[in-house]
Amino acid sequence: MRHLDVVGLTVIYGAVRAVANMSIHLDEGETVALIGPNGAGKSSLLLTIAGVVPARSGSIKLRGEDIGSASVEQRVGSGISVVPETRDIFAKLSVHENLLIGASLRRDAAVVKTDIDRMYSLFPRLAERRKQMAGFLSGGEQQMLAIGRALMARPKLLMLDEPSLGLAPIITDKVYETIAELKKSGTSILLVEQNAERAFGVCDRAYIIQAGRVTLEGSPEELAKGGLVEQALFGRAAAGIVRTSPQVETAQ
Amino acid sequence: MTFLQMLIDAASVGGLYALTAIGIGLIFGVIGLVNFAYGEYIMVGAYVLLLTAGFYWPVAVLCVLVFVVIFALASDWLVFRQVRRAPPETLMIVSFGLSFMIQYFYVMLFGSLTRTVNFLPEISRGFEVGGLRIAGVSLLQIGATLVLTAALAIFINFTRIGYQMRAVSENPRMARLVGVNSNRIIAAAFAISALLAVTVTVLFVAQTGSMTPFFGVSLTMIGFVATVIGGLGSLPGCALGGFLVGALTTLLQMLLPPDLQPFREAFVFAAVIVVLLVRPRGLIAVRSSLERV
Repeated sequence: MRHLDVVGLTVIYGAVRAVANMSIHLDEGETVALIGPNGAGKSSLLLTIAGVVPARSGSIKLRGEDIGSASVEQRVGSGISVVPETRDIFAKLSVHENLLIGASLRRDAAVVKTDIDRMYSLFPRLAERRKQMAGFLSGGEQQMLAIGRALMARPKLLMLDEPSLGLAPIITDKVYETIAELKKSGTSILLVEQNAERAFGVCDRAYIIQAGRVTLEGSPEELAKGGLVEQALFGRAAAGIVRTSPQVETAQ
Repeated sequence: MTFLQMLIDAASVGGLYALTAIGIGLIFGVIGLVNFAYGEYIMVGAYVLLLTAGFYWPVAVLCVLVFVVIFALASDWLVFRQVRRAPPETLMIVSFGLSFMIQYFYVMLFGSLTRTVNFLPEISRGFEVGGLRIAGVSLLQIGATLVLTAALAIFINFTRIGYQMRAVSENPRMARLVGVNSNRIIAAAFAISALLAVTVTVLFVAQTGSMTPFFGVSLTMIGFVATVIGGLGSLPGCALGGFLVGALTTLLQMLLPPDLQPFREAFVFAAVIVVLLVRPRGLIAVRSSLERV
């Protein structure tokens, strides 16, 4: 069953067409990656699905139901959670409060409590720092906390925006291990990445996105074959793109 | 006039200013709104006391409470929510406009002359303790300030609405993305600030027994000065600023030669300018808006 179905979505910021007539979909339990350079419109797409950025046109369906006019709160309620690119943990709240606030719409206090314990066993570093203000965490810990906070909502669709951005490789490994575990547990995941190699290691399918459009779609195997990704991304020899995604060259 | 006497007077005046400053500081902390209409929450409450003159006093206070909380929530729903994402300058001008509108509406209803009401005369009567003259209302002002400041600190730091309020204050968009109903949280902040305004109204009217449609303005101005001195956005800073301005006012009242008395406010504001020259971000500087209390 189609979990998420985005058809002909257009998002405009001022005079900039960030997302142009884009269509993507995600099946139940699937992990799908959106790969592309900076400014390709990946983050705008996520934020539009989450409801904090308005769409100019197009439709967004969640399990067949049109959520295009639903409020952010309703979308969170129907199972959409975001880990934004900037992480946006609440620096002045304690680690514990950051996790609690992830469960803002849940009414099952007892289960929330066991879920928090689960987060602490998933990320032991957070357990050690539960009473500290989240602003004092390291970049990697903040990423863990942002993921933990999103998971506290028990999302059916988890959207992760560049979870490896600015992290040391060893921390990125840990983040991707976590994503692999979540995938195993059946959560549908929409993953935005610049690092195609990383994304291919975990996703079932990927879209290559450039200048607000989908330019290529397929399984990691198909895309890795014959340098299709490089062709799509560098075919028009955009110097800026080469500079921002050196990892893609090693994707084969 | 002993030092202790002066301290009590300063603390009671300062308490009133501190409560006003905290009410203003709370709304600023949560949504970045410099709410000039805050003085009107205080003013409209006084006229409820005028209309309920003769009622058993707890009933009158309850009437004020209900009316002012609804009034504050309505000002948010009807006015401030409409411009929620506007830049701070716009918000401030809107609150100015609302403030004037309410004042002149009250001039229309009640006239611009001073009206008086004999509300709880017992508590403004003084009593003597060891040579000190203490008015009951002074003690109430000090007590109410301490209790309400402490209660608010506990509320913000240790409750669910408290941490949600801090989250909305720090990052409203992310707060929405985790499912926090920010309109409800903002309404809670308005209701709390209204509760503080009611306390100020009741104590002020009990003390002075008089009101005009304009009396909220001077209190608001002093409240603002207190929040700025304390460090805009820091609630303990607001309380401290309120007490300091109160102390300064009382001190000037006693020490200034009679010829200079009419210019007392000028001295207060001059002192504020000096404080801000030395500490441009206020006495308690904060990086984000709603700091832990």
